[in-house]
Amino acid sequence: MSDSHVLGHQPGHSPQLVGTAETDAASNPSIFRLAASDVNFVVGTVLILVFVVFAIFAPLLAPYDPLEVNAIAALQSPSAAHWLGTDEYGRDLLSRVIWGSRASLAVAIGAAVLSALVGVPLGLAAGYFGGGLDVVIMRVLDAVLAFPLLLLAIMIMASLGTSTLTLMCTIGFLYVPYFGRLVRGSVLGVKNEVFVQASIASGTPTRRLLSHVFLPNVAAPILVQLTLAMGISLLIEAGLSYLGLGLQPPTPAWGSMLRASQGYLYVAPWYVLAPGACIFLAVLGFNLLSDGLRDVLDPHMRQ
Amino acid sequence: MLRLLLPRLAQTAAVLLLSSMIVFVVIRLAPGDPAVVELGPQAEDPRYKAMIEAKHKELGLDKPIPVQYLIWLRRVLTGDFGVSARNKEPVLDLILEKLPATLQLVAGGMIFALFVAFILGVLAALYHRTIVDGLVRVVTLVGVAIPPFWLGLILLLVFAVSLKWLPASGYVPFWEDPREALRHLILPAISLGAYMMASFTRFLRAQMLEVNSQDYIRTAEAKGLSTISVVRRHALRNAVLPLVTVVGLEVGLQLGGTVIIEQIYGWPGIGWLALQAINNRDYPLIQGIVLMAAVFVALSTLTVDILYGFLDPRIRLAGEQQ
Repeated sequence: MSDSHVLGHQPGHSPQLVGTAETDAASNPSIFRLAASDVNFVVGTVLILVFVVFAIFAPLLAPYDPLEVNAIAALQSPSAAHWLGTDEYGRDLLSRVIWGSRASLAVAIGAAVLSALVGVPLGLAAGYFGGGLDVVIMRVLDAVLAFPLLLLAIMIMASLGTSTLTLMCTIGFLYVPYFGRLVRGSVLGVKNEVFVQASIASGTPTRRLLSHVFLPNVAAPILVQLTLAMGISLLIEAGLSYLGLGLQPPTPAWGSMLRASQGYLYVAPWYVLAPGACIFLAVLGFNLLSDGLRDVLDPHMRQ
Repeated sequence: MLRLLLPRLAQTAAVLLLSSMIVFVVIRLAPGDPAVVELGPQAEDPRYKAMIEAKHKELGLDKPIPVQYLIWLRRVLTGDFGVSARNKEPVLDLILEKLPATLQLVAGGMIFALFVAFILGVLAALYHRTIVDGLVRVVTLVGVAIPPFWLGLILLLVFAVSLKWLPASGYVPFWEDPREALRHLILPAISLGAYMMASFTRFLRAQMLEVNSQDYIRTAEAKGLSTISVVRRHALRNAVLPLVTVVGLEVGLQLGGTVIIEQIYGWPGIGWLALQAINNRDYPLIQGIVLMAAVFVALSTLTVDILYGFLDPRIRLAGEQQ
């Protein structure tokens, strides 16, 4: 079970040190077996896989064209023809929900990866070089953290427009400080270990040090945080779309579908359920996957 | 104590400065010429070039960006946040007008979150590894994953549309009519507080578990104190302290959440104001709100750190010894 996992802070635990006897293959059960037996990991992976399948195979799975307008069939309740009912334009909700996976997952995963690509090097630099660079980087990251997430996001989206790329970059930008702090913390934690000092003393060039000594030890928390970031990015994207500042109609997106459904709460109550459930299950999936990864990759934390 | 305080204050000042730069830069990136916005679209006609240039001069737009920033910063520090592009009212007044509604909402959410989190967190820790713990775990899992806006809509659907027990929207100030205010406040507060509740519960549970394994708890139990006494007098006190930090952080961040919740429930607060500003492309207003939010977050973080220093006797005494 994990707690306070947004900041990746695990009080009082040291990670397994890659490159030492602790991670020697002979004394550790296969990682795949560990993963398969962990409830969090399995449930999380299953949930995510469902949506990934939706996203990739949308054209095959969706019974109708998500953009096909059919005004006569507007706002129908769930039936045999339309499993989830129809929206205000008569479009099949099931199809729109399946297609919605594409946009939402793409933004969520893209934003998280972008965030890591920027945040990890910053954290490595801050942690390894220390001193003035560390101070400057940390202050800038703190400055970004000083904003309530959504407010900064809406400000940026209002200024720069709502293209998918802007969306990905904005959300990614918001999450950079979390990666930065995490990596910096890990680096600081490992920097004083004997084997690291030995590598430094033996004259290993900095680039190699960073990529072969620090990075492997930081990889596990990064991976855990990455899946968590995907979940949070999805939530933020859905929120922005709900406000009309994210993915724009007619692109099927869970958040904007919720926005539309609100107007019909009294006449078509079922409309609200499907898109919201998808967001919820996808975020849940990422959270569980993240917990599962943590359970598997750092057995020190298993209670 | 002052020794610990000064660097912290300097850090907060530096962070605020950087934040203000971020706000300034992002707003400047917005398309559109403020002179045109003020004079009207017909001013884009080349015949009016002189007018545009005069306007630029008046707004200070002809100066280099760093200078513009400094001028803006100086105004902000004296409390002049500019005027709304839409109705020419001072931004600061608009914000202060809507502030009480948001504060009421955030307070409501906090109280709900803390109340439930205490109960669930303590129970889960005391009944560790039983069904109670498992149930609490499910609740927290749902709480952190559920989109607040979906929760809001579902609550609306159940309690306002179907059961008609509670009103669907609107805000009543607490001092005007406490009962009506509460009726309007319940659903939004729960929607806003759900994530916090789950987050606090997890945290409190972890803290309690960690504390429970400490020696002083075993001593207290060996002395023959009942479980309730132990929890009340020893365990809670130590478990709660770090929670203060978490709560402080969340208060600031909830400002983002209010944007959505206020939209769902038609709650006329800062979040709602921000959305209006976005829709109207009212950049001075957007700028003012975001800046105030950053200040608020920075101040609450600072307050929490200071408070923590006072509350934890270990830190306080260590500081005095120096």
